Amino acid sequence: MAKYPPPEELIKINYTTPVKSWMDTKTAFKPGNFSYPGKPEILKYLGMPNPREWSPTDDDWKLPPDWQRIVMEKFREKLKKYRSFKIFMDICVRCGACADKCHFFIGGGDPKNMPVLRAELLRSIYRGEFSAAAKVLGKLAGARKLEEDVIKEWFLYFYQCTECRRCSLFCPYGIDTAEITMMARELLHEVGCNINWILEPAANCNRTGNHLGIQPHAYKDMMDFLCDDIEEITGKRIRPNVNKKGCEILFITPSGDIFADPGIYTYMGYLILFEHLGLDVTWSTYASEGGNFGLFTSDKMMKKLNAKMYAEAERLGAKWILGGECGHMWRVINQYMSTMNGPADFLETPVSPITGTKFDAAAGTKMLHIAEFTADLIKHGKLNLDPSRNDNFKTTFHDSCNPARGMGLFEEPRYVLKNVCRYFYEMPENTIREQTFCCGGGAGLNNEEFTETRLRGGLPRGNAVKYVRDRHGVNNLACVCAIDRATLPPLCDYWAPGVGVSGLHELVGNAIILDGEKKRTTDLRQNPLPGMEDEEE
Amino acid sequence: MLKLVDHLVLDQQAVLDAWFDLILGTYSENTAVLWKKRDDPFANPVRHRFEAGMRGIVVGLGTCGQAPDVETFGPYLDEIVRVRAIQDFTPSQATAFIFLLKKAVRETLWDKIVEHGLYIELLALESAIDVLALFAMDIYCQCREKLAALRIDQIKKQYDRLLKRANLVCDLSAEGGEEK
Repeated sequence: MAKYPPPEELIKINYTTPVKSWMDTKTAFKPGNFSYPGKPEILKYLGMPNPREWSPTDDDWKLPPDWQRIVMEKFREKLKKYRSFKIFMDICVRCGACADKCHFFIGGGDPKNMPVLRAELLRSIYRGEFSAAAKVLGKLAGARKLEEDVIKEWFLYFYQCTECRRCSLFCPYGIDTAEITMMARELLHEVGCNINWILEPAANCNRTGNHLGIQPHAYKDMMDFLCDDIEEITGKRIRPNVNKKGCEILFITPSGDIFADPGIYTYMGYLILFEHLGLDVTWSTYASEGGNFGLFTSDKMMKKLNAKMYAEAERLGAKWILGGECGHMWRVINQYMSTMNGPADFLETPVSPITGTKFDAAAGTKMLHIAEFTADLIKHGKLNLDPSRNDNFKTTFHDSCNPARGMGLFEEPRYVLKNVCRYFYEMPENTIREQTFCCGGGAGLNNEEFTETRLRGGLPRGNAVKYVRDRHGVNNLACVCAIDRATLPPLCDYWAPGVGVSGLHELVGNAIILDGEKKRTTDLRQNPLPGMEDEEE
Repeated sequence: MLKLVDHLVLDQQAVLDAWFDLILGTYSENTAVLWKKRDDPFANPVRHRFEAGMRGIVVGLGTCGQAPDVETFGPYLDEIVRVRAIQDFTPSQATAFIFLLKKAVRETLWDKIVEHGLYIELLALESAIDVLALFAMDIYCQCREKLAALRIDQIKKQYDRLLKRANLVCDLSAEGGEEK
């Protein structure tokens, strides 16, 4: 064989990852793979430790002098407080069932994004510090000492986990890796390593009731703005109740939907639905946030933000709470609310005032998901619908991680979709329902500086969307989560261009025929309805 | 007598396997093992996209003649480049996979090249692969520009309605200026 310089020699690149233990692989921070740290003033406001200016790309992270003692004490405390955490630390047999189930691993290939290895980042310290035998055996037993590089590694990888719990689905022991991430993040809080995109919304929510810190008058103003749009489209003026005492129902939805495109159209959909039903419902400017950023801050913050919603329901004298299309809110409601703030005895089990259906599944939390509410209305023929108004959409449905894996909401949104749209196509089975792929933006990773890594993690979802786009001409991805509505448009734009994103109730709002409405020529986005392209305004 | 490109098409599976192995060599060892093992297109989209793109490229080279055109090869290259553009690689690392095809071809088809004296055809094929590398670079840049645009868009959208409400947005399209 003739001699030739191999191409990889010509361009002098070593493609191969050095074969060394993951413990010896140093963590590299690059723009696009981490989120910006919490601002000192926000940490101070929240009363969190070690507020300071710092950047993950700095060598010196300005940890407190006795940071090792602080972390280990907290670690010990968590192990004692949560038996589940101790079990999760002990029980993993490293079978590898979860290894290729994380979207960040599937899209990016970094081994430390394998859920088993991500958890091992914490377990190795657990062994190295708490297990006598492993202490002696050291690396042989997968144990190591807590050093500053470990903190850096934790910060990178536990903020590259969206707590979507897809990996947990495949774990034969049922290890909830999301809870491991939560614990790691709480340990990091103790030494002041956290991200601003979580803490600032949590602080805002604590102060004003929503993530952006919008005050009541501004919230009401935005609502009026959306009602103006509805009036322009339908000819009907809607006057929603705000902070009204004595209504039967309090409605709570993520604040992202009132301020951000395309969430606003879902918000308009809710307003149209309630108007259509003449529902005795109020909105609240204080409980103006469903999304609970406490879920990925700390148990204390989660409890507090969750309690605010119930306190508002009690203050207003509502009988039960109707919840909008949100992700984290439902995870908190279904998995944590009862033990944190329950029982909500001052409320009643939700009963639909229109159909009389009693929703016993919500008896514990007294809070009903709007997809269940609307599905029940459709089942009883209570909605006057014209699905042909959505004929411009060939839609598929993205199961948002938290409502899907956190509460088992699979069929209701599909039932609603099929009744308000005439063209609905499912994505492949191993990408939907329980096995749904995360949008990449959960657990506080929906910030713009993280876009590159998020797109990486968005590949499995984008790939499934592209498949139905190519096969069925799908041009719309419906979902029931505000973070999805913010994250999926860029994801689709990158991986499956031509597919837009909508909320479920945006499509409901398009299809509902209001009593006495004018002839609609546009949908809620003010795009022409099918066959109305030439209509004059 | 068969040409080199005919051998390329006939033995495409062997070439593709060699090329795939070389490309996976640019990832961590553990990752390569898992990505080789799992062939469900939705559970393992990287492999799925790479294989679709690679096959298109190899078959395309078999039929494109002297000058590869971007219309034919763009979509196939996109399958691979779009993934590698956001995988933490440098620009050269992200696009160098195309040069690995040269290595795969030489290793797989060397005996036939020697046997039939196809050296000049090999040079032509390698030149065609060089052209593909340039296409790949264009696609890489488009992907990175897209990424930057998506970031800007996200910032805009987050506060879109608030800014409009506060009359802080200058809507150029309404004044007959540029489209948004």
